[in-house]
Amino acid sequence: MRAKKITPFLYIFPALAILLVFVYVPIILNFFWSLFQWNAYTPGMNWVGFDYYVRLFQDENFWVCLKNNTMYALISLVGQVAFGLVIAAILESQYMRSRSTFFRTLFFIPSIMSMTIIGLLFYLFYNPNVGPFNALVHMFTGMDTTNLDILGSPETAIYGVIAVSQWMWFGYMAMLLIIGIQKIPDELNEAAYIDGANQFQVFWNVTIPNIKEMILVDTIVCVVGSFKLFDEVYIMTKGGPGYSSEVLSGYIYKAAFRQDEMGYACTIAVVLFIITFLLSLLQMKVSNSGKE
Amino acid sequence: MKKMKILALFLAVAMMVSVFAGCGNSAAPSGESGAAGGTAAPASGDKVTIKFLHKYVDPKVEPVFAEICKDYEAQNPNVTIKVETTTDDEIKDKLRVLMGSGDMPDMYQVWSGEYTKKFIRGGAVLELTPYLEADPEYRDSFIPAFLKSFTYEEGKVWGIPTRIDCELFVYNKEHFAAAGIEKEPETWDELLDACEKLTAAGYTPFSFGNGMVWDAPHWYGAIWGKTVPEEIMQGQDYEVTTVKIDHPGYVEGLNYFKQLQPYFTPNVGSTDHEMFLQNLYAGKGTMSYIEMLEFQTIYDNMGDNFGFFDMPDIPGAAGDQTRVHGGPEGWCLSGYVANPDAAVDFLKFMTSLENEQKKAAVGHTSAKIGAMTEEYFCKQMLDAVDFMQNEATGMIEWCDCGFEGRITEILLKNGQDFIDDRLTAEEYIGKMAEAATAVRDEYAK
Repeated sequence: MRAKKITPFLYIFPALAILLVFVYVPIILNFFWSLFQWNAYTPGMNWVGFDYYVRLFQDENFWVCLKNNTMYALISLVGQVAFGLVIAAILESQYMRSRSTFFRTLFFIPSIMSMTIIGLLFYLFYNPNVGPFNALVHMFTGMDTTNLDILGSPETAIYGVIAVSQWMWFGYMAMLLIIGIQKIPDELNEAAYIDGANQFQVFWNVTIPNIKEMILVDTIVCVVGSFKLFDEVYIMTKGGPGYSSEVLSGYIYKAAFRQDEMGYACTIAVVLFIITFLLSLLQMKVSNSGKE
Repeated sequence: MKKMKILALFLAVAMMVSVFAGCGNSAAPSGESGAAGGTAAPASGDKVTIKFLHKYVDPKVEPVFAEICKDYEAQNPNVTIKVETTTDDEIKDKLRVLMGSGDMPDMYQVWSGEYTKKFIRGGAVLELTPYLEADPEYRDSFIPAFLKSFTYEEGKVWGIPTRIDCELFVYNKEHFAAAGIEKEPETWDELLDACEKLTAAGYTPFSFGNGMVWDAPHWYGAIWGKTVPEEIMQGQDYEVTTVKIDHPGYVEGLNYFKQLQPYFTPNVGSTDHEMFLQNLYAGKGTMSYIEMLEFQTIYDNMGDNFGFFDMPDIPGAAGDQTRVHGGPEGWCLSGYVANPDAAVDFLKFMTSLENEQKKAAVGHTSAKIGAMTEEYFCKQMLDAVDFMQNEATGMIEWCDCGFEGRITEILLKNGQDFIDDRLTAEEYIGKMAEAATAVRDEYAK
């Protein structure tokens, strides 16, 4: 009897050990190390207490990063989750179902492509010297694009990066939502139509309530992903011009590996962890969900 | 409840063990233990393993390094060379991680200046002075200016120069002739005059871009060499304990740079290095400020239609007008190496004239006197080496390797802001000076 009680724990022990070693212990160590001034080149660590936290909140670049991550999250909620939901609903509507496989594949393909390739592709696409973007803008709007430099201007660089992410990920988000929509029993839709509901009413009153869990998953993936953003920015702008398109993950990388301030990098990482953790909790609380 | 307590205790112990294990790891490179990252000390005739990290992964160059290592193993059967390669972009991060984990390679590639000094401060570099004093013929076989780049603290030598490099202007000879420019600019006024003549003749004087963020700072560094006294820039400000960046020559140098800005090709911020080189080849710009390492590529694209000249002198400015901006890459031996004699022997073999010539044969520049010949390099490249060997009195070390990391980060990140007038010269230098104060304070503790 005793052996049977232990058996399940034996099975989960490997996963627990891996999580402990690679997730939970590093999180705690990261906080511990954020209280010291140290780098890889010099031996020893100097206790600085919460000095780095004070410095972080006075650091104007940190606030630029936080603003950029927040903008990315907000725009992605609209551009990926909301737009993905609309696309999913259209593709799963009775008139489009016969052709939806083609469009699902088409929209999904960007999300399986290498971020490095996509980043370089759009880096060249936006480039005013060699890319077609400025010519296209001029052709469609008649605007003078002589001085239009999307990634080279601090006012537009982050939006250029965000736009690429929307293009890349909305199909993936739509796919997750399509899976949710397909799990809705047909009887519910049929009952709604018999009751005289139109397409929009079915979408609003039947589809959305039944895929609430999947929308939550999409939202969490989207928002948490927005705060973990790194590669798009690193490849396309390296956080520039100046710090105008820098994000928190990039700032951690630079603090650790460019400025040799490991303690400060740990401090930014702690704040990033707290932000993403709280956002996840908040989302689950607000939607009163997370049960499925 | 009791079970929960036991679990909590287990987790707490596991975390504490990890904490102390982590602390132990980071303290490993302190030099307290000679075995940290080194190979086991062998008795004479015992097997020796030398861990060798380099970044020369060009398909033509990497096999040459591999062949040299095999040759050494063949001549020394008790020695195994464990080669690890990485890329130019990644080697800095890789060495940083290896240093932190106490697993330093026995021989590794570095850049001269603050980059090497960081390893020296961490005890991760073997001082080579006694070995060079014991073998003056080997010491004198390198171009002195480049060996000097690895000589710090009252003549102590910490590295051996390998691939050499400096920044020079290249220009399109046809454009110069068509614009009526008869000689290469030697002073700042002559450079401005050349720009005016080129503009009047319908050419854009400079093919330039700062998309990689380090191109503009290379101009700044070279101009600062002309406007800031050497003992201030390289003596005071390249040292973490004395850095200030408060000499007026810094702002003055940036103002000189601004005088050239109207002569650049457009969209500087989003034109990367390769793009502006392509513009140069296509004749869309007449001059570019590039690394000597690239001369062979320039030659492949422009043939003999290009010449070069150094950053022009600024008469009356406070800096040293005879130094050139640049510096060599080099080899350092680990401070934790278990068998220094074996490592030094391998270093000498790797940098022997015969092996430097093998590398030169595939386009790898060399600080070894006599290694680079016209058989493998274009005339302009050899002339540039001759210029560095005989005319330049020394190097102004790469400013993005000379300043401490935090200062360099501002130098690079805000360089474009200065070009785009989002920062004035005073604000830009002010930011660097602010970082300098933090660096100085930290190292004063």
